[in-house]
Amino acid sequence: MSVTEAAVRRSNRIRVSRGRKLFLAFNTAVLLLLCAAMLYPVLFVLAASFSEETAILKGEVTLLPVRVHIRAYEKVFHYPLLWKSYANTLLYTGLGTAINLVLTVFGAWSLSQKKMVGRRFLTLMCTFTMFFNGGMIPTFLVVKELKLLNTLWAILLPGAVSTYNMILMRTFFMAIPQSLVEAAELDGCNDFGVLFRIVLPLSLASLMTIGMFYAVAHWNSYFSAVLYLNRPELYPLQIILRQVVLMNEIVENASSTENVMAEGIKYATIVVAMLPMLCVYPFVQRYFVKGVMVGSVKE
Amino acid sequence: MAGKRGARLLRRVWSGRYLYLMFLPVFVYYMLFRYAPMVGLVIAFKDFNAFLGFSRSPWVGFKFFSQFFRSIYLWRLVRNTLLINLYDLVFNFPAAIVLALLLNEVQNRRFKKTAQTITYLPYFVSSVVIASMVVQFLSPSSGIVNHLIASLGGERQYFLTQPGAFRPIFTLMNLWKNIGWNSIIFLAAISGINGELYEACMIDGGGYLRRMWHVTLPGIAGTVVVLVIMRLGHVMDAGYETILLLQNNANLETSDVIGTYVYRRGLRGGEYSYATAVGMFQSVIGFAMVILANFLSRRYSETSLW
Amino acid sequence: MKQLNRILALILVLSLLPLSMTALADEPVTITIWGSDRENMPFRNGLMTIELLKERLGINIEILSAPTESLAEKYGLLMAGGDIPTIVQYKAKDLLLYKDAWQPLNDLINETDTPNLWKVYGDPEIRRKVSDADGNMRFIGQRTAITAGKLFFWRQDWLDKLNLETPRTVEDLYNVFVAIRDGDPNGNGEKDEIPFSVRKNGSNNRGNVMPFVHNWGIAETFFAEDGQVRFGATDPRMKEALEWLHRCYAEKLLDPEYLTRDKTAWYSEWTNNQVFMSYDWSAYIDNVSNLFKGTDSDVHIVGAVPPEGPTGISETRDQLQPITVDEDWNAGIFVGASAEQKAAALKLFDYLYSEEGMILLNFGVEGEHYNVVDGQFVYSDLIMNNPDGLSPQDALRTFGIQSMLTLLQDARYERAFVSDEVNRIRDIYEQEGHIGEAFPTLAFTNDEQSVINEKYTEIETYVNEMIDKFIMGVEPLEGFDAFAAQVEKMGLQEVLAAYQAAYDRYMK
Repeated sequence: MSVTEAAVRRSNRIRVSRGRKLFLAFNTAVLLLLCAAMLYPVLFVLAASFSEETAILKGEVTLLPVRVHIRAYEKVFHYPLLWKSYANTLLYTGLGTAINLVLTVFGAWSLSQKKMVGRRFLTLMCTFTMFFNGGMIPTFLVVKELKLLNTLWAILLPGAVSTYNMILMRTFFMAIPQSLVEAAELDGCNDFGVLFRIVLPLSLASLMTIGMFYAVAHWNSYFSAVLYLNRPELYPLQIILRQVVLMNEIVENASSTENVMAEGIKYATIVVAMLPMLCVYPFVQRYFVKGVMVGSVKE
Repeated sequence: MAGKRGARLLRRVWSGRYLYLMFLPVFVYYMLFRYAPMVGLVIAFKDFNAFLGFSRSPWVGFKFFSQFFRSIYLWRLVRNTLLINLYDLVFNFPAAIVLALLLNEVQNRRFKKTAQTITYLPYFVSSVVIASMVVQFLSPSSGIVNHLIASLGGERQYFLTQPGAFRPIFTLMNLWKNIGWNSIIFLAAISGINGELYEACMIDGGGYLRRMWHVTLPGIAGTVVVLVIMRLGHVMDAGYETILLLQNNANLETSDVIGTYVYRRGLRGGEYSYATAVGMFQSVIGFAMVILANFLSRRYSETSLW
Repeated sequence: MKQLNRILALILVLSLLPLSMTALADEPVTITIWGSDRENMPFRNGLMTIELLKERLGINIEILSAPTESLAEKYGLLMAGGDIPTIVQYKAKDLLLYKDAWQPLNDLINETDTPNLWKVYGDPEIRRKVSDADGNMRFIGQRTAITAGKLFFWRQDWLDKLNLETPRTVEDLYNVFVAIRDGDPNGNGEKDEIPFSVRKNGSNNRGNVMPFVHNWGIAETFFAEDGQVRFGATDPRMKEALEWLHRCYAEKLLDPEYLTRDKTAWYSEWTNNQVFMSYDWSAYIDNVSNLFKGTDSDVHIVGAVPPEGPTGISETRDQLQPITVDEDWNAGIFVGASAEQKAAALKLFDYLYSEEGMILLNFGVEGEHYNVVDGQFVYSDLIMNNPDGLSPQDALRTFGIQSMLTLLQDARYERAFVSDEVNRIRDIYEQEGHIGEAFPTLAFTNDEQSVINEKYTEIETYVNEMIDKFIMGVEPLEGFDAFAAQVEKMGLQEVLAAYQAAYDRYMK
């Protein structure tokens, strides 16, 4: 229950003005409208993926599938590279998020502790890279020099820490009462002990939220694959999605049956690609609001 | 004296040894993947040729910078980049705050949660998908938007080729994608406001609007300021990956931004040094903006990023 | 960082030592090949042709696949990195941007060492198409079997239905367009016919609209006239051509959405009975006809010759060249590769240009992918009636046949696939002079190249933008002279001088 809610409940006992009622009705209406606008495109994609090709192209599909069939999905599921890329994306997302979280927690916790001399400088050093960077080509050259090209590390390491996320977590950690930390230290915990035994159990919300931030980024990322990968067996899902959605071949001669299916396949691929994320986030959602805080980096 | 102070410092450093150990991998990361590429910026001042390598490529000084400053597209690129960011800052940023305020006033918890779930949803859809939906919905012959316009008796519009329509389209698209997600941080800030302040305000007879004005907004002002400062650091960036997907010759007048230009010239055209010089110009402006914004903010409000 | 690298490298080397010791003896040389890869034209390790090439040549081949839709980016990164595979396959123009990277081939291609390559590249007429500014050969091209690649085609049944005569000139064609638009040949009572519609082709969306301008005696960008290099976009004749195109656009004779019409949407315009005419690769005559297969419509797609311009020119300039320098098949050999690798690469190319290699890459393996019947090559059922429902071409490509390594195309392959109609119209284009002189892909010196980088890239953006605006009427054609003046101001003459120098070198 949010603070306002609580306050409002108490005030409700005092009086519920007509203005308030009007406002609430207005509020509900605006939010309903917004929700409809948010949902519609996604529902359209879903409907189109089950609809007959010509119906999609003639604009007959609006909200419900027209002349339902699942041939587009059958076609997509037979796409050999799809499953491989699905597995790759799962791996990149899982392992990548794990690496992200470990480094971000370490960075955020150490930078939040006053006893670390020089943390102000180190924090600024990290923050600086948010606004100033070497650019795409120099970064590519570094990754190449490290011999990471065409390995999964090229996907996982260059973005291993997001400074913004680290600052969010650091702000969260700074709100943890110092007394808890000191008590643990008196019990003989070193900094790792404090972090793992005291802090992290209190930080579930932050971990979940930041973890979700990272996971979405991994799931939807394709550019690092374009930059760093030359082996189809390493491609993530988004590369396949782009091939299906954006492909404009130069010389071609695809069969007519496939041509007629192309639009439906496009939508089915989109659905397959976004489904896992859409299924996961509602379960993590309750942590979101508790897990993020942003503030100055000066302390 | 000095020795004593030095010893104390050493003792403090030693007491934080595990923290330094923790920070070490992070430090290595920043050095390797953030600072090492900055060294690579020297290629902006060289005529970089991969076969000669960094050191043997000839120095050319500011040649590529002056080439960019002489380009007839300089002004157009800067203007488009700034305007796209300005639109975002003026429309999308406050929209997320408004959404947070509206959500905060909802009393039915289930409705609130559902509304949150739904507004977060677009954030999880990848930009390729969103861009292709935009093209689909705006198509003059088969798009739903034009079906609607036609059924209302209007003339079908080819929005994606109208330079005047690009910025609104792009801004709306980002609004759709990000509004829910961006509201999270403001909701979090609102929930951190001390409840007693609300009660005090109510006892003074304040209505909800006054409460919003006198308690909620000041309560999240710090968050807003910090986010605005960070945002200003990116006024010269614009999500070029998505822009590229919506760009065509007819809307280039408003859709060509520094990011897409760098991409075209550098990655597709192989002019690495030129593209790096332009990218560096972009970074320098962005960085200057952050410094300035932070300075002003520290001066005129109490909050600042550092 | 370097130190760390060295240590890591050392550990790696030590751990691999036992492995490499055993492998050291008699290991065949490994070459790497970089090239365009996509779902319907895979270029990957394990393809049948690549496995067979390894076996037959006794070399190890490793493929580095670059996704077609981001090929330009991948190439840019590859060249920025400087770590180049033994062989890179890409467009000639882009290969020549980095001349230093490619092994000069003049001394390596000769009658004794590479007899099959010599058969083609010994011909100076062919040789100059693959030569650099210094006269050295820097890449191996793809030798095509036919010239007429792209063609106009239309629905003959509509012409017949409305009793229209075959249009001869662009003005006739305009009148036919109007008649189609107003005559309701699809009979649905709606004015929904789109007389001329094209598919978005690659990154240049208007690519298939522009061939009309060739009939005004110009090209869209550079072309040669009496030994003189000219720039088509600002030529006065372009203004006339654009007036015609704009008239078509404004009167809804040209697809109003040509800038964003992708292939599937274009196909659906055809199946909706909306399109009258188009321009595309010859195989599309068959592709579009196939869309109507099984329906009992009397749709009849027929190839058409280009309409005559005001001075009677009826030709298209963007046809296939004897060596396709503009496609992704040209192969450079990295200058930094080891001597063994270079030798293996040349051996590979010579094999690809031999009869045996040509058959493998055009037809596959006898008894499996093709059979010889009465001395004729005939594809097997595996290809022509593929069990997975693939089109013949897609079926071939899943084996790596007719794919990235098919550097010598065979005319028998070209004719075996397409319908009689395509063969008929292709012959007419080739034999009756509808193929205009194409401007060669030129090789520039470094100085010329830097003028082009600095001036022409900006001009190109501006021209691309303005041509579409003129066609769509966003910019009125009264502004054409100002547009031409602006291009002059942006340094067109310097660019033309660079082109002229390169062209003169080429013609010499």
